Amino acid sequence: MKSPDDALWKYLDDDLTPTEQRELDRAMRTDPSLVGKLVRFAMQEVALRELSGATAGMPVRHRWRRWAPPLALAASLLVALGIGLWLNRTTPETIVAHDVIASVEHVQGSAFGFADADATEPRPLRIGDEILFGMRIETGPDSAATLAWLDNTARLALAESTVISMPAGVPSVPVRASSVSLQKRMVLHQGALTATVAPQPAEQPFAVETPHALATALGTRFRLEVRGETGNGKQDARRLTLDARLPAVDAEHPDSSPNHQPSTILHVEDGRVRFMRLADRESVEVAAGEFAVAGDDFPLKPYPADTDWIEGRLVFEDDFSDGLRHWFLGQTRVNMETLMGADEPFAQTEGRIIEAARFRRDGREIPGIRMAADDNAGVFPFLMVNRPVTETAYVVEWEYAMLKPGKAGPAHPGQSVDDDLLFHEKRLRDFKTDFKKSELWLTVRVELTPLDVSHRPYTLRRRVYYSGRLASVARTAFQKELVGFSMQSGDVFLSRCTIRELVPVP
Amino acid sequence: MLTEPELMRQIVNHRKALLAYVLTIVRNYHLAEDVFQDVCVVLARRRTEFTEIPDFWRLARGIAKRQALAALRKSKRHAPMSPEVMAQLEEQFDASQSAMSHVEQALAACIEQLPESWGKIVRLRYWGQLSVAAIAVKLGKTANSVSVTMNRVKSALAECIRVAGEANGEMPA
Repeated sequence: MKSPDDALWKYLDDDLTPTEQRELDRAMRTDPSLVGKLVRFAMQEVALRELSGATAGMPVRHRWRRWAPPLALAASLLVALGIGLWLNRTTPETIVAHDVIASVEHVQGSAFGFADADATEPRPLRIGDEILFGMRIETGPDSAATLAWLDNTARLALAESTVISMPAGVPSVPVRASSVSLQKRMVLHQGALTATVAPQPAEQPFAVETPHALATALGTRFRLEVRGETGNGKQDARRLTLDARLPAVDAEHPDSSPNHQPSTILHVEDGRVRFMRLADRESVEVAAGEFAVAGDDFPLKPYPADTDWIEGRLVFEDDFSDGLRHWFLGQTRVNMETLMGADEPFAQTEGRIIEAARFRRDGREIPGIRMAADDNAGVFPFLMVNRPVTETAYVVEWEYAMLKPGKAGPAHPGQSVDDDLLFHEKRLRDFKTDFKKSELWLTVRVELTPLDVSHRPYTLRRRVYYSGRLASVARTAFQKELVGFSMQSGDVFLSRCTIRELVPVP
Repeated sequence: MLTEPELMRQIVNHRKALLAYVLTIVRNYHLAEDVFQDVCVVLARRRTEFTEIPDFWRLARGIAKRQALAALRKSKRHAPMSPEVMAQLEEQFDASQSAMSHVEQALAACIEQLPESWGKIVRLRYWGQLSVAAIAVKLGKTANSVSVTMNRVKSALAECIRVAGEANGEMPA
């Protein structure tokens, strides 16, 4: 081997052969001073890379450098949160960035700038003030502020009582081009903002992170539309707007309303935005005219802008993996002369069945409940579950397979499985139905929202016909706190029942 | 619970020494940066577990060691150093990680003291981010010659830093 120093430098440069490495290892075991040297060499290598990265082409350090340590760490924590970018990796493919990212375009009431995330000394913001990387901006009650990017590609309108952190920043030294995406990544800590964003290069997306979600403007498709419309090379002829809101939490009654659950709401007025829930990194694309909510109690899905109610807390879900454990069984005996029905305990017969079963679906055996009705006896089996469905609005969904249609019973000519959802009860609540059919499988979904504050007792029945004969009835008896499913004819395999709260759009 | 600002401060304080430690294991600076990011991820995830941290360096160094060895295994390029050497590295870093700031401070002055030709090589390599081969082409020398010179320059810098540290009592031998 060559000199120990040479071997140590080659080691740190990953330039030793396996044989040379074994020799070095042996030498270090017998001479601990070599280990000390390796430590010092490694420190020097890191220091050299840091120093060269901090001063390349810049005899005088830019003023943003005084924030470099917290910015670098902030980047680390962004990485920790899954953001995944780092500042200081240098390659020959470089650009030079600046410390000023935006300027104050408008201030109403009070708005303050802080040097960084931890700074405690506020600086009142005025129109024309420069906004630097890493700054924290706060607006006061009944106040607002608008920030405009220097390159005129983005504009942020901050609502009252809003706190945001500007991007962690990019060094004023040559950096890898992809790192520049940090220029367009804000953190919204609380409050609301509306971002108007010109189409962004794919490698530099505009993004806003909140405690619950990351909203990333998707620019590629949008940019194509811009080019097609303007034809003059303007990059900001059309803009997409997103509005991320953080509903205030009622400190005294934090769980008093689903609207007060910590969440982030994204409204997209134009373009498309990828909306990722940080808790599980599930994401959804939200298109123009849609919105979505990210929070513990909200399914992540886009809703049309005119939606009044969105899905909230899961009240009940059963995939019947525990069989009939949660359910009680009964049957309705119908007097064929008066057509009045009376409920009684379930009694199984050869043609009247409620039992745990398994069924193959998509090559996989799944648990469920088989239900069959004795067509000719006028006795219809049902299963019910007690759940607190009395106060607010719900969406109830049943999924089942129609194994065999009914052969007897009263005919309903013209009725079919696709369009025969009936509602016979008093309409104390508004309702909206959705019905999907895929081969054997049916999904019946009903959304119920209150129209009458008195909450008088009522029952919703969704009837499904098959081949012109009534096959099944899914029942939800509000106020009695009952949810159930009954069979009129035929043979079905129930695979899932789900009940979620519906909450008004915040 | 360790607050986020406290964690940030701790990571900032130890970032470069941790990078240096990881570099001695993975022997590739860019890989060391990646490993350091992973270390930050682990620290951030476990932040709420820490009620108090009497020795953040040892905690972070332990996480860094595991992450670095995992990265080394994943790269399938090299075997790690022997356990004896690894243990010595830990001891040395535990004893001297605080000297990182001195290394940084002394380095700039030491570079200024380099002969012009050596300073040029350093600037091309680090400030210009050129490979050894590219520097060789630029200087009309062989890559091997540049590599040997580069290592000599770096050893000279190391000696300069060591002497400066000994003079100030800040650098372990």
